[in-house]
Amino acid sequence: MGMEQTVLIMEAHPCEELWRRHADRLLLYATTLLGDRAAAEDALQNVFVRLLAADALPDVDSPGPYLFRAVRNESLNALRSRRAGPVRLFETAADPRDTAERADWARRVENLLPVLPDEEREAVVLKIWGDLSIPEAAAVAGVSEKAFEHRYYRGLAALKEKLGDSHE
Amino acid sequence: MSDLEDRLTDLRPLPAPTDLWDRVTKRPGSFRVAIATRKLPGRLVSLPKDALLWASAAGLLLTLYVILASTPEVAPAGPAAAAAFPQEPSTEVLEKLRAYPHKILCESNRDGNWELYLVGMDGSAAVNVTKTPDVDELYPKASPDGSRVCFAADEGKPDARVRNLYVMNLDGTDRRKVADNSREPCWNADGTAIAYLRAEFDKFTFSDFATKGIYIYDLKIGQTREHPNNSKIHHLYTLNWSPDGKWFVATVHGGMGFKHGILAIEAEGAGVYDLGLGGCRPDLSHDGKQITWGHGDFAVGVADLDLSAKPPKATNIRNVVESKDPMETYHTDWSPDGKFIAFSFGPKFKGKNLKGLLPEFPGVEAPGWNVCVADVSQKNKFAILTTDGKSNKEPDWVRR
Repeated sequence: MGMEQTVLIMEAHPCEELWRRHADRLLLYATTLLGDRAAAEDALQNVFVRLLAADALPDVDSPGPYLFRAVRNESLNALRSRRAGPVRLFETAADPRDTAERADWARRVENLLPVLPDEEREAVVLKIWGDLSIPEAAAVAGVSEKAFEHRYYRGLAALKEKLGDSHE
Repeated sequence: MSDLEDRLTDLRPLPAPTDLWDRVTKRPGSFRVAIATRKLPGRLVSLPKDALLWASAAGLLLTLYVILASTPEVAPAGPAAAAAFPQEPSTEVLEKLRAYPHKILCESNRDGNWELYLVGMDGSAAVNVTKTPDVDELYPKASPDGSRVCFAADEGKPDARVRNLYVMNLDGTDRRKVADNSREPCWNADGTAIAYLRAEFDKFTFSDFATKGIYIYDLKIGQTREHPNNSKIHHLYTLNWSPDGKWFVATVHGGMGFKHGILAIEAEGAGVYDLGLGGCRPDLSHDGKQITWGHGDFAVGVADLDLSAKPPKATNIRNVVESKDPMETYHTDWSPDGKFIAFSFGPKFKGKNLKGLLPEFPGVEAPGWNVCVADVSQKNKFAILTTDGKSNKEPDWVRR
């Protein structure tokens, strides 16, 4: 009787790769939606717990937008009236040579993002730090590309104006 | 892209906390499924395909585990790692069990089909009590007098799968349906009623916590009633009914205002209390004064239980078995006299498919898993009852 061997391999779950690629950006997005870093971590955790519990990865062409949509739904479900002031969003200690200037820039953006209308802030976050295309980001936000572009550029303009004001 | 967009893009998101992924994968008792925080050996073990060699494969797994457990490169972290672990099954416990009158029911997948098997303590071959090649029977719960069993059955074509509940005599006769699209049944103390959880969705899922509401089926009159607080009850699993009939005890996962916990739920009221036990899948002793549960993925927990206290409380928490990654423990069950605890024991494999990935879920294949029995009076003393490693899980004692 031949001994045909089936090799069982300990391998990383494919979700881990998604986590490595998207976790930081998803967490930033959830933080801007919830205004609370800990609540955002909970939302991100819940999304990946469900993903791991599923039989297989979601059958989608592009997992990035799928994950942003899932985090958006989870965050909106969890959203209470907890949105408060600015929260830390950006890394600033990576390069000690420009830490002060970089930190100042990061703090100013962090302080101004909560001031933007929700829809404009979401558009800016998805496009800039979510690294999504306009069609992908529009799908996550659940609006047409045209409406999304409108929100995005209005948000960008508001940010520019406020950054200019705060700079003066 | 504008200068502003450039400058904004230059800001990098704060990294996610290094422990957040661990929190995802090590959520107590539920979905610690995929990623070890340390590097595991690339190839765990080779298993023969030939069915006749499964028994030796199970032995190989056990032997391999012993090797892994003593290999510095795979030394596990966590408190369980520090505890002594038996290098081989306890012959002392096995000897005690030889004279033990009771038997154990479990689910097992020996030929691609799930059946319920009755396992004796005398080393005799397990007996298939369902014998239905087209239906997958799972999650057996023996009646208090040991004469009947209620269980789940996954039926229908793959695209129209549904988990239903049945009850039958232990010899397979008088099989009757209890409920459609439901799961996780348990008996009341006198064997006249079966409580169960209705599935949350019409679409089939293996997720045991996908439930909504407690229902009670009266075997005498064949009628079903709801828990009075059912609108607030969801995402429970591993339902137990206290011997005095006043309490349900179950795990909750992401529902009823709890993230995860083992709850005491008033059977005829709205009271819900967290027993404060980390882990899942509880089982009440037959006198209702003790509880065992999966204390994490690698330990069999035991505690004294006082459901008459206000609020109900569990004290004197300790572990009877502590295992090591990747060998996990689930599905604990008290023997009728409270001297032993049966549990499922085996390795968790990593991969994209459910097979071997989620052995704790009823109906998910679990290569290398066997039913064990631990002596409650000692630590890490247990016998391995089944040896073929063919997804032997969900043990339930049968009073004889």
